[in-house]
Amino acid sequence: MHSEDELIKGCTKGDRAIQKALFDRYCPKMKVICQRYAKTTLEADDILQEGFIKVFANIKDFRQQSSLATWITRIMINTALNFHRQKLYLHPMVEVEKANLAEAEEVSLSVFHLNELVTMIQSLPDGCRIIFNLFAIEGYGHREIADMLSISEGTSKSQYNRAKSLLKEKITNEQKRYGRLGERKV
Amino acid sequence: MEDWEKGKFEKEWRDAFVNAEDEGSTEAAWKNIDLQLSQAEGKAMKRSVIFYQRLAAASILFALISVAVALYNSTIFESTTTPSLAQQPTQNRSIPGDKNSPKQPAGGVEQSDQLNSTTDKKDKGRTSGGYRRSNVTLATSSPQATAFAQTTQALDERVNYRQAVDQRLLNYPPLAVVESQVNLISRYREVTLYRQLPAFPASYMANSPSKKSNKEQVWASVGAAAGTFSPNLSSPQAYFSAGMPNDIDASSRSGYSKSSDVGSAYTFGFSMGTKFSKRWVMQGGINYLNQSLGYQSNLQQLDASNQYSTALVGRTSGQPVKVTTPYQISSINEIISVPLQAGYLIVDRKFGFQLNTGFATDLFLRNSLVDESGQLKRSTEGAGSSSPYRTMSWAGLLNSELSYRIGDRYRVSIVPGLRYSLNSVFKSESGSVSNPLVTDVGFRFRYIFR
Repeated sequence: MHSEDELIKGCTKGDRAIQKALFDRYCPKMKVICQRYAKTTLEADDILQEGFIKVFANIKDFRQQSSLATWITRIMINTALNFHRQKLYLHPMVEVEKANLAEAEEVSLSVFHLNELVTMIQSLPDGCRIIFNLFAIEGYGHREIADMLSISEGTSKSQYNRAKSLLKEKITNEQKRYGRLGERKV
Repeated sequence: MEDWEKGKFEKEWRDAFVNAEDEGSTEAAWKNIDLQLSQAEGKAMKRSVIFYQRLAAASILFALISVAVALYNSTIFESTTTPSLAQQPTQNRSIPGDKNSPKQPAGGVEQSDQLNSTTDKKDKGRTSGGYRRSNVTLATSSPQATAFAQTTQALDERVNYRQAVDQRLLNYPPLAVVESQVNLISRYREVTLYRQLPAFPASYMANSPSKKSNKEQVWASVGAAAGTFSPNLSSPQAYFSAGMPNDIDASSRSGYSKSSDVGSAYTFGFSMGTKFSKRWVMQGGINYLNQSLGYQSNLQQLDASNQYSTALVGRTSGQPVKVTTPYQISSINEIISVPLQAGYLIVDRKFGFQLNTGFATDLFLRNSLVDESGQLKRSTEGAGSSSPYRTMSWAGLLNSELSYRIGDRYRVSIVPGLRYSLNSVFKSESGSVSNPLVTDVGFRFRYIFR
């Protein structure tokens, strides 16, 4: 088991074995991140590969101001955003009508498998999916998201509300479909 | 973060993914990553190989140009160090007592007698044994005649030597052709070298979109240079006819001016440049040129304020002159030059190597003749209709620029180069021809705007 320093030094030298070790350690987590931002599994694999290439190319500049995992996560998210920037340029996000945010009945995500949650997120429109990931899961604020994506804060909020509304609808439908509440699906 | 906006819904989703991992197979992903890393390493090695090959090509090119210039200079000096008898004014070909005097006709043939007939009365004390002030006539029995005969023999040998040198030069191709061949060779050598690069797969030859390029697009620079100045005078030695109407005291001696082979030159100026394609740049600016050449002269001229000042043969503008003891003069040409050059970036990185060529429009400001001892007043000749100097001329430029970028905005360079005047600095009616060649090394400091 290599320490973080050993991984950084080995990757800086271009040691393929160390690079593989780093990849094996962080790939499982990064794969989920990429799946959340991608529309399809193929797209997620592309983002994952491009992200790790950037990690190995820039690891010599890593200043250890954060953990290696956090740094790699940031690279993966930026790679995913770059991937979608062109799509967002061609189909810019606009403010949508205020979604019906009437509180749904209490939902618990613990009844859903990780893959199902990922599938729900992937089913969202591109803009909604990215903003949902950034706001709800990564923890960015709408102002930061607006700066990152070159959109207005209002657009960010409205797109997020739409994503939230769609997800709540999906969760409700799934729960009704299986008729189970509080039980984890097998 | 606007935490107050995040409620239970967001917390549920965040908690669901906080340590989420996909345990599926990653081998396919790693294979692709491994392949791309190998390709990137191959490209880096190829870039490094090409960089050193181009550096080697540039060094060879520069060495060839330097050798060509050195050969050209040595050829010019060889042909100008021996006096050219044909270039001497026909009316006065001799300086009595001067070892370098040309051959005197045997038998004491008189020449220019009518010019000197009035001078006999002035300095009678100088005549002796049949010696005539015409400076071309000697009685064959006089000691001077013997001395002249000996001088003549030495001069004959020198003339024969010069003719032999000329003959040797004729057997070699003209230097201009050699220079053009060098340029052709250097140009095609680069192409040949490039074609001889090892063949890489097509994927390696394609430019990577992520390849960083030098972002210098527009810049301004100040620079200075110093070097040697070869005048390439058609007549490095020129003679003034004694007894001419503006000869003040019609002394027995004739005036002459003899130039040094090499002088000094310095330049400073300002320029701006822009990159108009990936490897090509254009630069232009304005420079002040100062070219100084040493002379030995025995002429002084009387200026408008009735003071004696420095003078050279052919540059007295009709002012009264007199012959005096020889003294050293610095002839200083001051010129404003407007160069325009195209440059090719052979190496375009933090270290840069660039080859520039172009031409300059030279505006003649003035020529100053300065007595090096400081005793005589300096004489100055500007441009104009009465000046022997051409007001505007053109020069060809060739230099290389070795540079180093400091930070994002600055670049310092060393610039060795050549400058050759394409037309004579003298007007055609002046009788003199001079196409100066300047070789110098400069220093340039560049500020990059964008």
